[in-house]
Amino acid sequence: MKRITISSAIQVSFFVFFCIACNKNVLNTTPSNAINASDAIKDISTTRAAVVGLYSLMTNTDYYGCSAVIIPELVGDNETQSVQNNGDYTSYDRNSVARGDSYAQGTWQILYSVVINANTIINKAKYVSVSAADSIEMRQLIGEAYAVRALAYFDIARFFCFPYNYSTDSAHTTIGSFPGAVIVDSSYPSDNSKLYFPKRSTVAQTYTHIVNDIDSSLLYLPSSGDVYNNRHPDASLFKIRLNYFGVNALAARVSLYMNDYPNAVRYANVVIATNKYQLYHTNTLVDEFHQQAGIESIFEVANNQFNNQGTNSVAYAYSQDGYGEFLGTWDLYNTMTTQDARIGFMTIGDRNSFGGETNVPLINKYNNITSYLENIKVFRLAEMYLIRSEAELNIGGASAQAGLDDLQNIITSRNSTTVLPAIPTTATTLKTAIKAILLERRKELAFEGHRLFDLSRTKTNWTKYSRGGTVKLNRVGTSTRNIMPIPLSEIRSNPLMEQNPGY
Amino acid sequence: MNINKHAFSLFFLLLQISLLVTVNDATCQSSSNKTGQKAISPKKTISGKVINAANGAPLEGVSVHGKRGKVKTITKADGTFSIEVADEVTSLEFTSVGFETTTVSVNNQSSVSVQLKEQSSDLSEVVVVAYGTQKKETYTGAASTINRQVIEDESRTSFEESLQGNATGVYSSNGSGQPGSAPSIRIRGVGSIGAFAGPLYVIDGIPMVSGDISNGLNSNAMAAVNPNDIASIAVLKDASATALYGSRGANGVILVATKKGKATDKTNLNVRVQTGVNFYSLNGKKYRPLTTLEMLTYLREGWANNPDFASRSFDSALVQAKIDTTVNTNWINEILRVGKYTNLQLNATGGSEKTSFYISGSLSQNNGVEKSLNHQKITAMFNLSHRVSNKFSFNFGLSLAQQIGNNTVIGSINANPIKAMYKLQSWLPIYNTDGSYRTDYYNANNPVGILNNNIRRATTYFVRGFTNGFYKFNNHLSYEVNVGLDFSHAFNLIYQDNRFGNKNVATNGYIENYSGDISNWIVTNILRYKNNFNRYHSLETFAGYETSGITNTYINPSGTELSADGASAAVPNQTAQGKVSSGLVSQFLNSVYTYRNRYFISGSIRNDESSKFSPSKQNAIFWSVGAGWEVTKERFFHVNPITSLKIRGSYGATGNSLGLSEYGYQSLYNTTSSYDNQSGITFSQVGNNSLTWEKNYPLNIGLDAAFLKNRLALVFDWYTRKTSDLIINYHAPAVNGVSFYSGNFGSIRNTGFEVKVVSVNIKPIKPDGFKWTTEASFSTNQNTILQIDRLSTSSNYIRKVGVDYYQWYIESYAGVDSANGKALWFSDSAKTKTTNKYAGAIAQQQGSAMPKFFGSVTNIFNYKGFSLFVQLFYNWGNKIYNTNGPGVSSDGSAGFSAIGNINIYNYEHRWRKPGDVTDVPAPVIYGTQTGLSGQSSTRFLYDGSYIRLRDVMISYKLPDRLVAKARLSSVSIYARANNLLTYVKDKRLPYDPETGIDGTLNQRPPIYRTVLVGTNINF
Repeated sequence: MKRITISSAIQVSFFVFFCIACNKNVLNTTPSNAINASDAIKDISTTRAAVVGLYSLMTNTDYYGCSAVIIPELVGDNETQSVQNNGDYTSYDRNSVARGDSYAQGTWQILYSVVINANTIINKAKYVSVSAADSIEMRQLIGEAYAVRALAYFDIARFFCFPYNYSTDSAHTTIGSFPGAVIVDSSYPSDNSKLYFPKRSTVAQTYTHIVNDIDSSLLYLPSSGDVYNNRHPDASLFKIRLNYFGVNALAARVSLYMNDYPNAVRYANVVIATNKYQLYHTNTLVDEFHQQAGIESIFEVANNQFNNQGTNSVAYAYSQDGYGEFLGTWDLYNTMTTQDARIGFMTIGDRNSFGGETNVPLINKYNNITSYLENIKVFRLAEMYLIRSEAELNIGGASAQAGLDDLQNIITSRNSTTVLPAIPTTATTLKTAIKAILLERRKELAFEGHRLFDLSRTKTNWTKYSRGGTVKLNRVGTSTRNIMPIPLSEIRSNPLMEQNPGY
Repeated sequence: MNINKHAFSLFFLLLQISLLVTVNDATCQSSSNKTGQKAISPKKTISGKVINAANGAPLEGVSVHGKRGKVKTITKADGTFSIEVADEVTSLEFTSVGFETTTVSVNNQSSVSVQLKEQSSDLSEVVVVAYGTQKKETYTGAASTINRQVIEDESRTSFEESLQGNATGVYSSNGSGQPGSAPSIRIRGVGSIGAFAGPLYVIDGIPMVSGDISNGLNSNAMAAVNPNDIASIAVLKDASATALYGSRGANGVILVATKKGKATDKTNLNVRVQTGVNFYSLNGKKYRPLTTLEMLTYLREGWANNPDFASRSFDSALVQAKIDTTVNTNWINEILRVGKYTNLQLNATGGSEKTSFYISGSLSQNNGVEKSLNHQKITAMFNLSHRVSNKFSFNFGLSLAQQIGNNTVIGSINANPIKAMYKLQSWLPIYNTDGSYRTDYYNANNPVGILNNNIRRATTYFVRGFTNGFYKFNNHLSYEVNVGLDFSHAFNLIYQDNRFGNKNVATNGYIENYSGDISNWIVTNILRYKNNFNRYHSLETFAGYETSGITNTYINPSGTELSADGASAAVPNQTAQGKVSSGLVSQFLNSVYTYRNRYFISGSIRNDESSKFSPSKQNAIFWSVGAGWEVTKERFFHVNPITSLKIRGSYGATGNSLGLSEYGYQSLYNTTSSYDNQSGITFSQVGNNSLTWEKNYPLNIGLDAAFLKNRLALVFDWYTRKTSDLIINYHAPAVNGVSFYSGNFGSIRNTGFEVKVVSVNIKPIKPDGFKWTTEASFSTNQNTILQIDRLSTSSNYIRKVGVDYYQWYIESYAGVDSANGKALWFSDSAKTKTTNKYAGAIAQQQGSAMPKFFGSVTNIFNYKGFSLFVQLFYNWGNKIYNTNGPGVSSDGSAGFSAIGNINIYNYEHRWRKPGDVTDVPAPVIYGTQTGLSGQSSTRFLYDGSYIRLRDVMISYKLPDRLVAKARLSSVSIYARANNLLTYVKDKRLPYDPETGIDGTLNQRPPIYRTVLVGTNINF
C-alpha cells in the first residue's frame, strides 16, 4: 500500500505541472507599438493622433521630406547633380527614369498612405461622439483630414498625371481622356479579402475630387485659422498644420493649375487679406526663410531634432556638410544679380568631395543638418502674390494692372531685376507678361519643388543641365515623360492599373 | 472551428482511456505468455559483464542476443547481464547505440566478459526521434544522423555549418565570411515563401529560437552551442519524423542532444587545444580592382571612344578631377588580412550508478579575413543525471554561453568596407599628408577609417536549461515531465565616428544600442506505454500535452553629441522599444506497432493552437502514418550478399508557422509615428482573418540495406512533398494604404532523392591495421511552384506556376558587337535578335539558383595511430548572380567617379578594336549607349557548380605506452583544414562560389579557408 501512496503523490505532483501546462493564457497576446485598427479613431484623442499621423507621413523622405522638393527642381532647370554623387535621384538628372524607379514607387506609396489614412478619419470621425467642449477640435480634425487629402491628390495629379491643360484645345475638353489618380474614398480595407483594386479616374475627375475636398475642408475648419489642440487654440501649430488659410493657399494653387483664374484670385485674396502673413524683409530674407514658422509661411512641414529625415532629408542632399550632391545651375544663378535678396540661397564654392566641381553654385536653401530646426515650406505668401498676379493677367482687362502690381510688389521686395512687362493687349504680349511672372517664380521658389510643374503646366521647353552641367539635354514642355511612371509593382499588383503613356 | 477543437479533445480523451484499458489487458496477456513458453527445448544460462573498450566503464542497455535465437536481454546499469539460451547456441551478439556490434563465442562457458568498441558509423541501433529515442529497425521515417567526427574539433563557429555535405537532403550554405553568422539551411528544398523556410531546432527537448538574435548584427543563436558538447544530431525529414512537431515541423527538424554523464570508475578529463589561421579564398586574378595605371589606360581609351570627348584633352580632365597618378592604393591589402583562430576546450565526465555528470567549458576566438571582423565565444555546460529509485529519476542540464561578434555593415551600403574595396579608385589616398584620414571622397566612407574606428558589436548571452523527471509506474507505463527554458540577451553597440560615412560636422559621433531579451519556455508532459502482447505483437505509444511561449522584449535607443569618452549621448535620437509574444498549446499522440519484428506501423497525431492566428483559425491537426518491412527477416528471403534490407514509407501532414508575424492576422495602426514631438497613429497592416498554417504533405519511400556483413551500407530515400496554403506576401496596390498583404496564396512541390553509401573498403585484419572507409552522399531536389495567386518577379527571380522558387529572370546578355564594342542584349524570347539598347532587352528565365544535386565523398583512412579524414563537397547545376556586377562593370560610364573602379576581368577582356570577340564592351567615358552597358543581365550570371576540399584532417594518436608513462589516458595531435582547395566550373566567376540559398553574391565578407593544428588529451 505504501508504494501506491508514493506513486500517487508523484502522480499528483506531475498533475500540477500538467495544469500549469493547461493554462491557455499563452494564446492571448497583444501587440506593442501598434493598436488594433478597430481601436483607432474611436474618440477625440485617437482621432487627434490619427491626424498627427497624417502629418508624420508628409514628412517622409519620399514626400515633403525630400523627393517632393528635389525631383521637380532636378528635372527642371534649377538643379543638377554633381559628378561626385551618392547615386540618389540620378535617373532624374539623366532623364532615364524607368518603370521600376524606386523614388516613383516610394512617392506613390506614401501619397496613397496619406489618402487612406485621411479617408478613415473622414469616414469614422463623423460618427465619433464627443463632448461639446471637444466638438470644435473634432470639426477641425475632420477639416484637416479633407485638406491633407486634397493636397495628396493634388500631388498625385502633379507627379503622376498629365497637367490639367495638357490637351491642345483651348477649352481642354479632352482632359477626360487622360488617366488621373486612382480615387478611393473608403476607409482602410478591413481584411485582405477586401482589398481595393480600382482603376484610374481621369484628370478631370481627379481635380473635381480635389476641389470637393477643399470645399469640405473649408466648411469644417475654423475660419479664424486657429488650430485647436486639447480644446484650445495652439499657436505653435498655426503654421505646421493645414489651417483655413493653408487650404485657401492650396485652393489658389490648384485653381491656377486648372487655369481657373477667378478662383485663383479669390482664394489668394483670402490669404493675402488676412494680414496674418507678411513677406520676408529684404535684407534678412535668407535668415528668415531658414527660421521655423517664419513670417511668410502659411504651411510648412515640421522638422526638429527628434523628428527629421536625417541623411535622407532635403537639407542633407543640399548641404556640402551632408551629401551635397545637388548643385544650382548657372542658368538659374545668372537670372539674379548679387543685389537680389535671394542670391543668398546659393553660394559660389567648391563641391566638398574629391574630384568634384569647383566654383559652382552650391545650394543652401535648406541646409540645417545639425539640429534640423528648419521646416519645409509648402505654402508661403510670396507664392500667393505670384499666383494672383498670373491669374489677374490671364483674366486681363481691368484685372491686368492689379496683376502687374502684385508682380511689382515681389520684384521690389526682393530687389529683383525682372523687368515689369507692359499691360498685355495681345496674346503675344500676354505671353511675354506671363514669362516675366514665371521668371520671378523661378527665382522666388527655386529649390522648393515647383519648377517642373511651372514648366509643364505652361508647356515651356527647357534645357536640362545633367551631370553637374557637363551634359545638356533638351526637354520638351509637353513631353509625356514630364511625369513619373506608375510604379511597376503597382501595375503588377493591380490588373486594372494603367501605365502612363511615356513608359 | 470550436466544434472541431472539442471534437479533437474528445478524441484525445478516448484514446487515453483506450490506452489505459489496453494496459490492463496487456499485463494479463504477457504473463500468460511467459508460462506458455517454458516447455520448449533444453536451455543454458550465460552471464557476464559488458564494458566500454575505450575506458572500461560498464555499459548499460546493451542488447544481448543468442546468435540465431530470438531471445534477448539487456545489460543492467553495472554492465552485467544474464541470458537464458537454447543449448545449441554457441555465440552471443552484443549490440548497443554508438558501439560496434560484437559477437562473442560462448561454447561451454557460463560467464563471459565483453568489451564494446565505439563506432562512428550512423547505422546505430537507436535513433533519436521526436520526444525520445526509437529502435532504428522499427523506425519508418527518414532521418539522417551526423557523424560526430565532423562536428567535434571543427573550427566552424556553429554545428549547422557542419551539416553541409554530412546529411543527405540538407542544403547548408553560408555565403558570408563573417565568423558566427547564421548559415541558411533548407531541408528537402524550399517549402515556404513568406514564412521561415529553414528547419526547427530542438535541443534537449526544447524547440529553440534560431538564427540572428541581435537585431541585424548577425549573431547566430545556434553558434552558442559548443559543437564538442553535442552527443548526437539527427535531421528529421519526412512526415513520420516531423509530424510530432506539428505546426513547426514542415521544413524539417534538427534534433540535438548534448552529452550526458556516464557512470565510470574513473572521472575522465579531456583537454583540447586548437590554433590556426584563416586565409581569404577569393580568386585574386579575377576580382581584383584596377591599379591606377590600369585604370588610367582604360579611361583614356574610353575618352577616345566617346565622340563628344575625343576632341577635348584627357590630361586636362585628369587635372581637373585632381587625380594624383602617383598614388596606387592596394585596397585589398588595406581591408583584408590573415585572421587568427584559437580554441580551448575542457570537459569532464564521470559519476556513479546513481549520479553522473558531464561538465565542459570552452573559449574560442575566430578572426575573420576582413580586418576588425571577429567572433569570441565562451561556453559552459553542466548536465546531471540522478536516479532516485528504480522508478524515479531526473536529469538536469544548464548551458551558458557568451558570444561577442564584431562586424561591419554589409551589402550595398557605402559604409561596407568590402564594397569600397571593390569600387574605390586606386588613385585615392587613404591618408592626408598629416596622417589624418582622407574623407573628401565617397561621402567620407574611408573604409580603413571605418574599420579602425567604427564599432558594430553584438554581445549575446545564452542560458539554456532543462529539468526532466521520469517516473516508471511499471515495465509498461511511465510518465515524464520536461521543463525547458531558452533565454537569450543581446546587447548591441553601434558607434559611428563623426569623421566617416554620414559625417555630420556638429553631430560629434553617433551611438546606437539595442538590448533585447528573448525568453522561450516550454512545459511538456508525456505518458508512455509499451508492451509486447505475445510473441508477435509489440506496441510503443506515448501521449503528451505541451505549452510553450516566446516573448521578445527590446529597447533600441540612439543618440548623437557624444561625451568625450563616447559613453553617453547628449542628444537622444530615438528610443524604440517593444514587446512581441506568441504562445502554443498542443496535444499529441504517437504509436509504433511491430509485428513479428519485421512489420512496423507507426502513426502520430498532434493538435496545435497558436496565438499567431485569429481565434477562429487557432487550431489545426497534423498527423502521419508510416510503415516498414524488414525483408531480410522473412524466411523466403536469403540473398547471399544482402545482410539486411528494410523498406519503409510514410505520409502525413505537417505545418509551418515559423517566422510568421505574431500579430499577422490583425488590422493594425502603428503608434510610433510622430510629428513635431506629438505622437500619432497610422494604418500599418491589413488584417487577414483567414490566415492559417502552411500545410505540408510529405510522402517518403526509403530503403535501408546492408551488404557483405555490413561492410557496405546503403540508405536510399525518395520523397515528394507538397506544401499548400503557402504564405506569400504580395504587394498591395498603394491605394490600400499598406505596401504588402499576406495570406495563404500558393502551393509548391519539392521532389528528390537521396543516397548515402557507407563502405568499409579495407577492413583491418588486426585491430590497428589499415582501414579505409568511404562515405558518399548524393541529394537532389526539384522545386516547382504549383499554384500562385499572382505572377510576381522580385530581385531578379520570377515566381510563376511551373518554375522553381529561385528561377532567375534576367535580361539575356548577348555579348559585344564585334564591330563597335557595344554591349548587346537579346530582344526576343528565341534569342535570335539583338539590340544595343538596354530598354529593348527582355528578361527571360535563366535557370535556378538551387543546385541540381549536391553531396559529399568522405574517405577515412586509419593505420595504427594515424588517421586521415578527407571530405570533398560538391554542388552542381545552379546559377549564381553577382548583384555587385553592374557596380564593378561600369565600362567607363562612371567617368572619374571615386567609386568607378572595375575589376581586372573587365579590363583584360575589354573590346579594343573592330573584330574583337569578347564579352566585355569597349570603355566609353560617361557611356553613350542608350541604357548603360553594365546594367543587370546574364553578363553577371555564373554557373555556380563547384567541388571543394571542404574538410581534411590528419591526426596521430600517440602510442599507449608513451601516454601511460605520462599518466594520461590518450593523446592525439592533428592538423585540419577547411575549404583548402576549390574547383569552380565557371572560369569567369570572380568570387568564391559559396552563396546563400538565394544564389546571390553581394559584397559580403569573403569566405575563408582555415588551417589549424590541435591536440586532444584525455587524463
